[in-house]
Amino acid sequence: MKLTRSLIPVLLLGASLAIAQMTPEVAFRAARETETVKGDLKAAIEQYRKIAHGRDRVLAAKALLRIAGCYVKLGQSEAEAVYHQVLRDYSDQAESTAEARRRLAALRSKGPAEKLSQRMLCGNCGDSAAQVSSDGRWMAMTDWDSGDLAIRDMSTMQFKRLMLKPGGWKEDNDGNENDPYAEFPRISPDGRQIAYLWEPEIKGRPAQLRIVSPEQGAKPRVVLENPEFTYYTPSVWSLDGKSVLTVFLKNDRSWQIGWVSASNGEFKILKSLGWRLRNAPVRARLSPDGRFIAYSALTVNPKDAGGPLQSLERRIYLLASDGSSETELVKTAGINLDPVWTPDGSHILFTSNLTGSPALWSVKVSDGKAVAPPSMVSEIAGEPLGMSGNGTYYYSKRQIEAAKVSIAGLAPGDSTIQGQGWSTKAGLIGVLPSWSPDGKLLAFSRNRGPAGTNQWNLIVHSLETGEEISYPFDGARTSPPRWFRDRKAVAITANQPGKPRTIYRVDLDTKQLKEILEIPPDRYGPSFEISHDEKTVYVSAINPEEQGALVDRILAVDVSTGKQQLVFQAATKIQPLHFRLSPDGRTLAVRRLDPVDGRTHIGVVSVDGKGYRELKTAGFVPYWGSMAWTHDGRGVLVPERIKEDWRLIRLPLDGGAAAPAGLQGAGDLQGIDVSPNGKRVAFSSSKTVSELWAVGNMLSVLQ
Amino acid sequence: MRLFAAFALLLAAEVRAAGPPLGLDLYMPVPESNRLTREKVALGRRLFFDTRLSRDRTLACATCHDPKRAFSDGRTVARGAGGVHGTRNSPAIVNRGYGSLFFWDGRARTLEQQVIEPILNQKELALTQPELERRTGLEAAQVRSALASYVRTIRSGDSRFDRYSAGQPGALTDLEKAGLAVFRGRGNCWVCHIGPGFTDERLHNTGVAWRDGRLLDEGAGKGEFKTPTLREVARTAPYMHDGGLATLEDVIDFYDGGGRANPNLDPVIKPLRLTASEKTALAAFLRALNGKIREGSLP
Repeated sequence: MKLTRSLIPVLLLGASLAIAQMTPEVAFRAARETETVKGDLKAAIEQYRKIAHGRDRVLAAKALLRIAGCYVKLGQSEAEAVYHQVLRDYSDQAESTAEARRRLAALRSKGPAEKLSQRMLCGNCGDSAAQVSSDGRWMAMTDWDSGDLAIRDMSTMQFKRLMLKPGGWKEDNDGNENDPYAEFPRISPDGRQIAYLWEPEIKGRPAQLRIVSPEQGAKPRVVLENPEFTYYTPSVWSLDGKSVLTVFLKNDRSWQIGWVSASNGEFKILKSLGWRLRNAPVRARLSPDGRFIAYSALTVNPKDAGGPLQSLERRIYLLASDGSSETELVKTAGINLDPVWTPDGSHILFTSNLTGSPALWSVKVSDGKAVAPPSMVSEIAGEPLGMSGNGTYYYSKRQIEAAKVSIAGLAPGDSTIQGQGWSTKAGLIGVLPSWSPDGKLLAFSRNRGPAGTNQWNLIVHSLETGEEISYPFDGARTSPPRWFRDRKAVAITANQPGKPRTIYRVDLDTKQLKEILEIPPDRYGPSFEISHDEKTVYVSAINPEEQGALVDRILAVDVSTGKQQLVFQAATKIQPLHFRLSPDGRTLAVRRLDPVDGRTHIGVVSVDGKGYRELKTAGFVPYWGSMAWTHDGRGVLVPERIKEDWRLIRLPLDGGAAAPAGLQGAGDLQGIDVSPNGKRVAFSSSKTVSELWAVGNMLSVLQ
Repeated sequence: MRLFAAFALLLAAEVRAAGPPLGLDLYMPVPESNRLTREKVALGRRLFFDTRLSRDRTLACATCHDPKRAFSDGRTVARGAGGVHGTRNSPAIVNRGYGSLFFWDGRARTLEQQVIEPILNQKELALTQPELERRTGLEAAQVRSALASYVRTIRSGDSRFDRYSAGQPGALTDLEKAGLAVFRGRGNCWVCHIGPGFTDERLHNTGVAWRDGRLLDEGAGKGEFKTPTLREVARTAPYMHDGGLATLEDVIDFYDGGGRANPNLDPVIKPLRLTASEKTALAAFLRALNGKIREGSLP
C-alpha cells in the first residue's frame, strides 16, 4: 500500500507531462473524451482550461464554450460568465462568439419551467432500466460491463456489483450457451429486496423473474420461470411488498401486464395488449396509493409482431391495479411515453412529441382521471428512471456521437491493429470509408440532412491536403462507395428524384452521374461490388418468387447486357446480406444473418458461384459493419459485437481460428476498409454514452 | 338475521370468486354508459332465455347461442322465427366482453350495438321495436344494456391449455404440446388466433366465401370475415361463417391447402403442407381449448 501511495505523485507527474506534450488538437480531443465518454465534467473543465490558456485562439475559444457547456450540465451558474469571456476576449473568432451569443440568449430567455435545477450526476452511467430508491440514496442497475446487478451510491456515484454472476462477459458468443445477465431491477418498498429479470445461461431456457437482497453475495431465488413467456419486465412492487407488477412478453411476442406473487410466482394477468407495446419502453408504474397503473401503448394494435405499424401514436393509460377499470389519460395525438407519478400522486409526468420534438409533459390526475389538459414542463427529453420520495426526478439521456472516420495502422503479416491507438482526422465525420486505388483519397458517406432527417452525401477527402469535396446525392448509407480503378470515379447507390434506387458512376471532376444499374428496393438489396474489369456488378437481391421475401442471394449482372447470373443463394430467406470482393477479384466474402438459427454466417464463394464454404458462425455480428479483406487476400476482417463493445476479428481462409484484430473500445464499428498497400485501415465508428441527470425542483413547476 | 349475514357472506364470496376463469384478463372493457350491475346482468340473463323476444314466441337468444353447446347451436346456419333459414353460422359468443368487433362481418363495434340487432332482424327473432318494448315492458335501450351486460359475463377459460400456460407442464399431453408447436410454428395459426381470446378481432379473407370463382357472401367486403375465437372450438361445429366445414379436421385441411384461392385472399393464408401427424397434433391441441364456461356472475 505504501509503495502504491508513493508512486501516485510520480504517475500524476508522468500524466501531466504527457498532457503537456500533447498537441492542442489531441489535448482537446482528450478533454472531450473526458467530458462525453467518461462523463467526468470537473476533470474535463480542468483539461479545457489548459487549452484555453494556450496560444491557439481557435481552440481556446472552443474550449471555453465546452467549459460553459459543462457548467450548464453541472447546474452551475458560471456558464454565463464564461460565455461573456468568449465575447470579450475572442471577438476575432466569429464562429465561437456567434455560438456564445446564441447560448447566452437561450439561457436568458428561459421561462420558469426551463429554470429547473437540473444537474448531471454522471456522464456515462445512465440506465433507463435502473431504479432509484425511494429515499434517493442509491440506484439499482445493471453493470453492463459484466451483466451483473449493481448498486450505485447516488452521492459518491460509486457502485458495487452484487456478484450474481462472477467475472465478465464471455469472450465468444459461439456455442449453445447464453451469456447470462440481469436487468430491470426493482426495489421493494422496504428496500430489502430487488426483483429483476434474469436471462439464463442455457440457450432456449426461458428467462426468469428473480428476487435477491441488495447485498453483495446474496443468494437470489427464482420466482417465475415459464416456457410460455420469453421475457419479463418487472415494473414495480405492490405497496404491501407481496407482488411485483410485471410486463410479460409471450412466445407469440404479444404483451401482457400482470401481478406476480413474490412468494410463489403465481401470476394474474390484468390486461393483454397484443402487440401494442412494440417499439418503446414497456415499463408500467404504480400510483403512490397503489390504485392505478400508468403505462404507454400504441393506440392501434399492429397487425403482427414485426411488420409495419399502422400508426406510431401512443397514449398514456391508467389501469386500475385490480383490473376493474381503465381510462385513457392522455388522448392527444402524438407519441406519449414513459409515465411517471409524482410522489403525491397528483401528476403524471411523461415524454411526448406533441409539439413536434420530444419534451417532458405533465398532466394533473385525480381518482384515475385527468383533471386538466396536459402541459409542457420542459424540453428535457430523456428516459425517466422515476421520482424519489422528495420529488427529485431522475432521467437517463443517451448521447450518440456523430459517426467519424478513423485511420489505424495495420501490422504487416497478420493484419492486426498496430498499437493501442488510432487517429481521427479532424473533419472526417461520416460512415463507410473506402480507399482510393492509390491510397491518397478516402470516399465515404456523410449525413447532410437537417436534424432528424437523412440525406447521405458522398464525400471525397484528400489525406494529403485535407481538401474535401462533397457530392450532394442522396446516397444509401448501407453500402460503401466503390472506386473505379482509374481513380477518377466512384460507384455509389443513390436515390435521385423520379428514379428507383440506382447504382451510379460518379465522375469526381464533373460531378456527373452515369447510371450503371437500377436496384429498386423491392427487388434488390443495397450491397454491391464492381468486378476488376468493370464489366460486372455483383448485387444482393430478393427472392423474386416469394412475396415479401428478403434479400437471399447475390447476382452477377453484366453491365452491358443486363444478363444476370446467380452467384450465391442462401438456404433460407435472410436479412441482411453483405459481401466484399477479394483483392484479386475472384472471391466474395459473404456475411448473412439467418433468421432461422438467429446467427450470423460468414463464408466465401467464388465469383462464378462455385465452392461456397463457411468460415464462421457467430451469435451476432453487426448489421451495418462492412467486412474487409486482408491485403494478402488470405483472410477477412469483420467487426464483431462483444456485448456493449465492439472489436475487429480476423477470419483466416485456411480454416484457422478467428483471432481478435484490435479496435476494441473504438465504439460501434460501422465500416472498414484496408488501404491498397495493406498498411492502414480506415473505419467508421460512433459511441453512445448514457448520462444520468437529476432535477431537484420538479414539483415546484408542475401546474 | 344470522341467516341473512351468512347469505351476504356467501354472496360476497361468490363475487370474489367470480373473477375471470384462468387464462383470461382481469380487465374487461365496460362502457361508462353501461356499468355492470347485478340487476342488469340478472335481467339480461332472463331476457337471453326469454322466447317472448321472438315474433312467434318459439325462439330466444339462447336458441342459437345454447349454453350446452358453448353458446352456439350446432346448425350449419341459424334458423330464425317461422323456420326462416339464415345465411350464416351462429358463432359461439364466449368472451365477447373482451371483443371489439361483432358479427361475422364486423358491422357492430360494441356489444350494445350488437345484441339488439338479431331481435329486430326479420331473418332472426323478427320482432319490431315497439313489440319488443310492449312484450318486455322495457325500453329497447334497457334491453340492449341488460343483454350486453349478461353477454359480458359469458366467459370461457381454465382449459388445459390455460393450466399449462399457468405453469402446469403436465396439463397438456405430448401430442397436444406438439399441436401447440404447430399452432405457433408451421401452422401459422397464431397470426390471427392471438391472445387470451384466440382472435385478433380483425377481418380476413380466407376464401371461404368463394366457390367456383364466385363470391357468395361479401361479408365485410370482398369476402372478409372476422376471426372467430378458438375457445371451446371442439364444441362448436360446424365451422366458418357459413358452417360449411363439419369438423376440426376439415378446417385444418382447408387451411393446409392455403384456403380458397381468390383475388383478395389474405396474404397470411398460404399452403401449409402439414404432415398427417402434425394435423393430428394440431387437432388435439385445439380440443385442449375446451374449458369451463362461467355466465351470469359479475366479473
